[in-house]
Amino acid sequence: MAVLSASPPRQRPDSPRGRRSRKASGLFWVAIAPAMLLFGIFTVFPMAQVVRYSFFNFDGFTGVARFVGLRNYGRAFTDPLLAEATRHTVVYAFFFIVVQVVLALLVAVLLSRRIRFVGAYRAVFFVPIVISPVAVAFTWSFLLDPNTGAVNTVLRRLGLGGLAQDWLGDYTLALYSVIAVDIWESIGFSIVLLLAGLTTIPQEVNEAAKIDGAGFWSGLRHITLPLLRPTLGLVVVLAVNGSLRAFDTVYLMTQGGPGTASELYMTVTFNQAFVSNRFGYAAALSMFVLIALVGIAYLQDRLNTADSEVKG
Amino acid sequence: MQRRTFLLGAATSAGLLATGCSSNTESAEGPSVVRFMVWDVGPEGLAAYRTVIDGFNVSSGGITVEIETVNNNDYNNLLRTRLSGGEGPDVYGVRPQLIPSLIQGEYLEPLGDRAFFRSLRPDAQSNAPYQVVDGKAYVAPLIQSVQGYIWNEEILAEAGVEAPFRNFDDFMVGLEKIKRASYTPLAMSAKDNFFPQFIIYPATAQLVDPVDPQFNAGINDGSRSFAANPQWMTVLENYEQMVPYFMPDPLGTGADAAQAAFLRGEVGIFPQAGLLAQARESGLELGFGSFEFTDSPSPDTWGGYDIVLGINPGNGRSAQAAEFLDYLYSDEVYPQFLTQVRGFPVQEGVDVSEVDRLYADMQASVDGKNIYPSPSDLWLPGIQDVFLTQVQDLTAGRTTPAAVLEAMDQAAAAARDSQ
Repeated sequence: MAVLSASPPRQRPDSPRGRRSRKASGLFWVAIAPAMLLFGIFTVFPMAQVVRYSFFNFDGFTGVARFVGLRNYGRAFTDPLLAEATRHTVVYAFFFIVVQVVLALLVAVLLSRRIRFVGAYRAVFFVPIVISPVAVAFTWSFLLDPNTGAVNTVLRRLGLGGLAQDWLGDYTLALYSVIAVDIWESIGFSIVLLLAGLTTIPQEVNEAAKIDGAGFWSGLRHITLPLLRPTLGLVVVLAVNGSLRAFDTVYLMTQGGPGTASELYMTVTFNQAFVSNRFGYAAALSMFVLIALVGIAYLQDRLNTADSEVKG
Repeated sequence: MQRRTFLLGAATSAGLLATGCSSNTESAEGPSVVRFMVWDVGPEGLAAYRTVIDGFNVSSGGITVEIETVNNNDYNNLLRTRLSGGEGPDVYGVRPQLIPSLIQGEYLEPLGDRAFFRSLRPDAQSNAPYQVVDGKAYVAPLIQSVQGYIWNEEILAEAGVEAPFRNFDDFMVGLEKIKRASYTPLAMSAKDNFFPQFIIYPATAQLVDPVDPQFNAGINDGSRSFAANPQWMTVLENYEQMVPYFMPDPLGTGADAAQAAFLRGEVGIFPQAGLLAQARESGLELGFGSFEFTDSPSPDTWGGYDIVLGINPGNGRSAQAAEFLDYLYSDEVYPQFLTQVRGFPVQEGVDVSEVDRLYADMQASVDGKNIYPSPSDLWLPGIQDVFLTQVQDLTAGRTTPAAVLEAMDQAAAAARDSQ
């Protein structure tokens, strides 16, 4: 395994190499200064403001802020709507992470085989990614209309009227309908990533496994999955990230309803900030997500490091 | 060297940023550009504003008005962000629930001395409870709203129903007859949770507000309670009775779908008069009535104003903004503007009865009445959101009126706590 030095070799400051090094270092700072400044203004500063306002009662507009200490954080643990929305987010995350990734993997494996019209199939799965999420949400809202929507109309014409449902108005179905739309919209991206990962698996390995008598499932389990681990890790991390930040489809299709049946953590956070003008509380809720996302980023980094070490 | 190059980089970046951020300041626009911002008023509405603005820009002697419309959902947030960032418009549409914070932030100036404001009817200067704060009027209504329902003459005739309805019982009998004639009686649904407000607020205006005009202020200061108010209970019980006559699957059916069903001639009654022009284009024979939730015709009605305008003093262009509004409210321009937007006047002596044969009836439905605004315009932020969610649960039969009112009290307490 290669051993990397943590710091460059020491040089005498007044030597020609030392001067060149200082000059390079200076140019480095000049080069990254614009990016750092933009990052500081548009990312670090707003995040610092979120941290700060999470300790205040603040309406986000008048500038009047009252210090309340940890009260906003404490309130998050006693808010029944937030508890319900968090439960919904866990359900959402399960489908978005587990079901979506498994489906994407199966589709990617099928599409990686030599079958007719494979290019057309790939395009079909990829198309939803290039459609605006707002357009997707509105289109599906029309399709799922209980009386005039295409989904129920088709079911009725096929003699399956018993399966026609009030997809977005039924308290038990609304969340799952929105999850299905979100999976439909985003599965193509996971498939593309997994297809790219599958192309890195050497063909000889698969052929050797076949000669040794490995079938489809055996090959998938013992060859494909282990070699696809880095890509799968990335897909899972992106899915976790997406499920924690899930907002737009629910907001556009059900506004968290009917009642609170499809409220998610982020829709509650948004409503607290922009509907109820409780920016302080919303900032505290955002902090929990921020911490979770930092944790995920750390895990992703660990995963990448572990994979690099295995390869090294 | 290192420090110098770092500072050089930082200075260059700051310069680039400053250049990028400075394009929309007053000095770049000049003091004679008046920015006018309002929510989405539809293509016909926007054309009407543009006609007024074009006329003003030609005759103003150097002042130019630029209009910007913002979609309804984003309007409040965008307006507040721009105002607090110093990039606010000079004249803008004001949503009543924002008025206290806009006054507190000094983003509205008193209008009492302005000529256009003095041209308004006396009631339009001070009728709405949100208009006058500490004795000063900060907003000027532009278009009177007329609330009520329109009906499909053919369907009601076929069902043997006579409209308008004299009282709530009469209304319920009518809905039942329409249902028996195999039509959907009321084009109401609850997927878009704002929509049921169109049949709830006419009831609060006739049942709650006249009994206790300070009720909503009392909710905000904690001296009143929803649960202890019998009129609010009646309002929600009335709503419950109407639910069986809504669109099929009302919780999965959007307001647009309900509207489309009425325009296709499948529904007897649409609960908002604003659809009149589109319904005419669909070739429907129509009638108009205002909701009556009392035994005899009520002297009270839900209404207010479609558009309420304010002037932002922060940009130093108040005089130019007022000059534009003087033009908009002038005798030569205002009637034409109203005709084009199919609106109702807030000045005396403006006749819009030529717009539609039902306009005389519609105007009569507000003339001389006590007009009460939407209660949600007066509530603290957060109460309305809970109310609308609870109304969806009530529509689904998953809660009771008493539980809804208790939830609203809890929301009011939380809203007070957040102040």
